[in-house]
Amino acid sequence: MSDAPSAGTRPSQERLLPADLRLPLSTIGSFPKPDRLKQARAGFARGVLDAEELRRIEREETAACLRLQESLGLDLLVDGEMYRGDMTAYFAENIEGFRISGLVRSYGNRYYRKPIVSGPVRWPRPVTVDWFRFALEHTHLPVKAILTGPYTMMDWSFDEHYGSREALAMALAEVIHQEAAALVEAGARYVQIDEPAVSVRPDEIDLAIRAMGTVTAGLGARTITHICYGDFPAIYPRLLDLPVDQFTLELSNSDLGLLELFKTSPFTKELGAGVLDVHSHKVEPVELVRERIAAALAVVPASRLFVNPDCGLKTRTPEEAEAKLKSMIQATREVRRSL
Amino acid sequence: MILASLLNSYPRIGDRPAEQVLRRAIQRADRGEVPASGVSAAEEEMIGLAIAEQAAADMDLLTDGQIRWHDPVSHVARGLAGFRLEGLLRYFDTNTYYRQPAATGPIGRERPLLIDAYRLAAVAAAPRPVKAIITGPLTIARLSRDARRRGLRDLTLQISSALNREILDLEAAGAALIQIDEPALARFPGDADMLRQALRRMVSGSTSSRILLATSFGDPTPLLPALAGMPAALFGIDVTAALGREDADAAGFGSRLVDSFAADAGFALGVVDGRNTRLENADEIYERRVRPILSVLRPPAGGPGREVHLVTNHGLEFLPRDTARAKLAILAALRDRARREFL
Repeated sequence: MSDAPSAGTRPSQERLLPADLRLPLSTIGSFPKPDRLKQARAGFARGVLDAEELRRIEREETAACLRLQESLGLDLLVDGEMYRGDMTAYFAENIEGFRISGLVRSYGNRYYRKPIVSGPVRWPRPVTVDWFRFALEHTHLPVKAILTGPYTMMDWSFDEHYGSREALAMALAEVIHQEAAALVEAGARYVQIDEPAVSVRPDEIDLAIRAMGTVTAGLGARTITHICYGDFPAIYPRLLDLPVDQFTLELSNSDLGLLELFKTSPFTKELGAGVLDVHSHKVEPVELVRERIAAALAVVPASRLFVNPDCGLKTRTPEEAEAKLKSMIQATREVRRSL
Repeated sequence: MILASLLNSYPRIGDRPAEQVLRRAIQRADRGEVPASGVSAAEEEMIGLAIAEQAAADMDLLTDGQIRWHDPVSHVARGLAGFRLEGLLRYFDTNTYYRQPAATGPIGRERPLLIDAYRLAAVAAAPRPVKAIITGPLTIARLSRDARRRGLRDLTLQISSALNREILDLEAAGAALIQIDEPALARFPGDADMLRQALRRMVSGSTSSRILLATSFGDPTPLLPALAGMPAALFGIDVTAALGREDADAAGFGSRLVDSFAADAGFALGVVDGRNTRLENADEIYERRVRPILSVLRPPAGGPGREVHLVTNHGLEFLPRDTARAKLAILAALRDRARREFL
């Protein structure tokens, strides 16, 4: 069931990045949840806060997140995912055929409720569309819609129903295509389909490509995928056959090792270069970010380079996220001047 | 002897408040509200809970649940000289991560790694025995970055030499059974000869303990002849992966075990799926997996027979706690039926 805010109206204007903008600045999707929102979510989970009050706080924090992105100077905004918990659980909660398990560990002290596929998956209604419209109403800048991809939804769920990874992934691809098409209908011109699991099983890259093909088929939007923390050498350059226009990738976590890989075979698509390590408390100095951007420019021309953090910022505190983004934006502006 | 046991890890968290003490302690330590000793105390509490739940499920052989382990690779590598921990990578085909070690210099053991944890678990589990668990040299080498550029073999053998001291110390601490986890072998079967050499070095000088070499993350069938030549008394076999979803020809697989391994080799048979929440029907699994294999391994008219552990095919940290408990109950039911029929 959609947990969206009140629906807005479709914007009359196309929200596109300026054609002459170099090194557009964006983020991967999630922003840190402020303490009041964490408390509200916890209160809702304990049954001491009702859904309407939680939605009110989520709307306020989404609007604040959009204002922050505008004020910092990002070019392509996101809604910040204030209303989402985990990237797979959120969609599983809103797609038919799933139920949610108890807590399982992701890494370190991070846990999530892993979805369980217990029946045929079906798209019941738009899941994120009203939130996307809400975002458009609260900024004049273009907004990137963020979805979790079918391969990752499949790989990161327990399957108690299909018994076939391929059958489940392709069924999910149909569901996510319907959601993406609804977002485009609502005005989305940039749709990111996150597939962090793609780099995990090199032997299934063909399945991931087919599933992504189903999701992006006929979408009238720039398509992006985000992949992180996996065995890239095993799937490169085949990775580039994923039918999307842009890849946002984590470069900083691997100390720019991915860029060395891209020198072995040309990176032929747009690259959203991850220049901030989202798993480090340390705020990168501007000079370091500038060096990372320069290193990315050595493998992808400026006309195909975007700048973003490695991954979602929800792992950081609000203060850390803002400081890191300031560093990224300052560094990008300096590099732009030198182009 | 037919035993029931967890393969290695157990959930560190559950949905009940008492099962969340470790997460809360780490959060508070991150905020500077409690010292690191507060985390250590919470870890011990969760280890005690993991052990108590295994005992309550009537497991015969317990583990400490690897509660303290951030991941199977860095937990061991962080105690070895010559390694530096770097960025996060996904751990095999799971959606959990490990911190990748980079080998930057000669590898050596700086201090005992697992001895205190073993002693703590042994006391908590008594009178039930505890198996010590350590990640093997091939897996650590394969999942590390070799910044020294001296090659995989050199790195694997250096790790083996460093871990040899750990094996001897575990043995001295009373560990009668030491499990070496080598999940990388199924992914890199061509490394089997190198692993055999490495394990010989790793267990050299051990006299009183027995080694259980455990594989996972892949069908072990092609590995069976190579595994048989490894210096171990027992072999962890992912039966679930070997037989596939349809449980094809379990008796045939049992025959392959008999044909491949020495007559006194024991097995830890991963007959319950540790990575899926679907709860197996114990009677069905018994008929389709356990009985056909045990019929071949332990004919009723046979002599003392082989030692068989019925285990999950992976650690249970991938599952929610309630499901993990249910999986242990299935193992116990399988064990009870197997004992009635084969002992």
